[in-house]
Amino acid sequence: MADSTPPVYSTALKAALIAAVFLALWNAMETFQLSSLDRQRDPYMVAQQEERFAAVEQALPKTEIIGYVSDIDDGGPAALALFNTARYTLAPRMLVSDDKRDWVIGNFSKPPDFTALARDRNLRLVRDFGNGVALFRGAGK
Amino acid sequence: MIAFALLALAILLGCAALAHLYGTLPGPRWAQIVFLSGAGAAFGLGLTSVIFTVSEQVIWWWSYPGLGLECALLVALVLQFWRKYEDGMGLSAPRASFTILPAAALMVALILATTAIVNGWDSLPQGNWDAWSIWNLRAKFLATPTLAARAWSPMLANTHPEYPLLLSGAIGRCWNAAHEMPNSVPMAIGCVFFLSLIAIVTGGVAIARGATAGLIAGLALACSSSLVLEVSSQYSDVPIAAYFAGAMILLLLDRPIWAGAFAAFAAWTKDEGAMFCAIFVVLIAMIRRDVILRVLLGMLPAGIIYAGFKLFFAPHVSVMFGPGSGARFADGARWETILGGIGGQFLTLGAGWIHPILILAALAIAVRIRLDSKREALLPTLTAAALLAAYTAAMVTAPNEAQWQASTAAGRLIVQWWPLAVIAIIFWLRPAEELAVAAEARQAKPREARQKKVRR
Repeated sequence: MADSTPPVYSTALKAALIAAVFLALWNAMETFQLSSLDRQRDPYMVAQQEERFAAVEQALPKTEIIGYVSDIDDGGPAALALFNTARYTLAPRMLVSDDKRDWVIGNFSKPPDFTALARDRNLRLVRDFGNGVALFRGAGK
Repeated sequence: MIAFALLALAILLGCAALAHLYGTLPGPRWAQIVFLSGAGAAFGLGLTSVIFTVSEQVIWWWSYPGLGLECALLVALVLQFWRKYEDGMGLSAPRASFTILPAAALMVALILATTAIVNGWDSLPQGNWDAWSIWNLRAKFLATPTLAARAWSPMLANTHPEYPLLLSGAIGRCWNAAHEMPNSVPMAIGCVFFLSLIAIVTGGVAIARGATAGLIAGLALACSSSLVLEVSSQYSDVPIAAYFAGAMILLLLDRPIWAGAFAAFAAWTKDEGAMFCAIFVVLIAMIRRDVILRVLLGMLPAGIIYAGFKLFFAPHVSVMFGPGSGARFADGARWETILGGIGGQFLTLGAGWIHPILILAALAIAVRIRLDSKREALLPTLTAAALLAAYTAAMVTAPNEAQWQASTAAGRLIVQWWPLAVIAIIFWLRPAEELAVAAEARQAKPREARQKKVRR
């Protein structure tokens, strides 16, 4: 290895190297093709949350711990995806899954009856931002 | 732009720290440069992440107080390297052949891999589930100095606030300096760790086992489908794989302090790293007892931070071994599901019908197994075997559903483990250059005999 002249490879070794290179490049091409398949872009719609929450984000200080209510709250994958993408978008504000905070964000799959929801959860609607996003104030605040 | 300047500073700092090894390693000069660049990038990202996270806790009122320390360190290391280089150090590195065919193939494979990664970013700009629910979320908290403690708040109970912080710290450091949080930062850091992993294995194996073995090992990783496709997920599995590989190679190159530092960075990246550290230390105590103290010394700084975080900061929200672990361990059906999942995920390292292990097999057929020096191969082999066994047992005893473990966690664990397995396999093979020298000697003998005959 420390020799200054290049080593002479046997025919068997050359054949092995050619085979290894062929296999590797074939696999690399296959991997590249796999990555180019027409997959669903942003399956959890994280980028879309940035647009949905842009206005409410401006209304809330970064230090705030914010409550969260949603019409999808069964603890299933859809509920978790909805909550976690909202939490990521609003960070460094801390989003927690309860309605006992000064500020509470509503994240809905379809427009709810805000008056009934606010009454049921003891909240006061501050603003409906549209697109299923609303900001509530905890009762008495 | 500022975020990328900070990323470049981290890489430069790491490369400057490892640069003093240049010329002291036995292999070809290109291999030393490749290895030290890869290891340097991973080390720099780990070191600056630690400086950032710790300094943010100590001097929380100042936005990134560690930046001055990083710059001072970089200047000191560059000056030290320059002085050594001027003294003639580094010029003594031995020359060796550059095997052009696998080298060119590795370049092509890396171009295809990075294009595949870019395609992945296109479909997952914020990364996959764990990226935005764990790693990048916590990076956003760390990037906001007064709110850094939220990164391990019990309020994050369903998204592992107890996980270590190396990756989140590395991202948060760049976001903090830039005063914005572009997706391009976690993307770039993921890509740097991937290239660093390939460079560590290619360069490191080339130093220890010759250029051909190094390039083939690099090729086997650069074309491993699930490893490449994992990069765009922005998870911490590729970073931890880089630290595993770095620790193993540095130990095999007889740099035990550095090996310890890399192993501890693996622990500070993900909890599997702590498992790796335990296995690594036990096996070194059995096989390489002469270096155990130096390995432990290298582990100390990041190890203390990991232990301190786990003991005093991280909430205890998830337990690996709890009620029911024994029953799950004795459940044959769980073993069957998990082992099936691991086998299936191992197969997905290959895209289509070609598995990267065939690349290593092609080399093995030509060079055969090395029988004279099993000691060097023993450590990576036992580490890879023990790590796989530990991962399997952890998945079997974990409270999650076995099918879920087999289809999600198993794939990520295989990505972490595969580079170690490649190193282990390569170390069992004879260096191709040795074979070439032997062939030359065989050709030279009849020539000498003919010349003698003519002289007579």
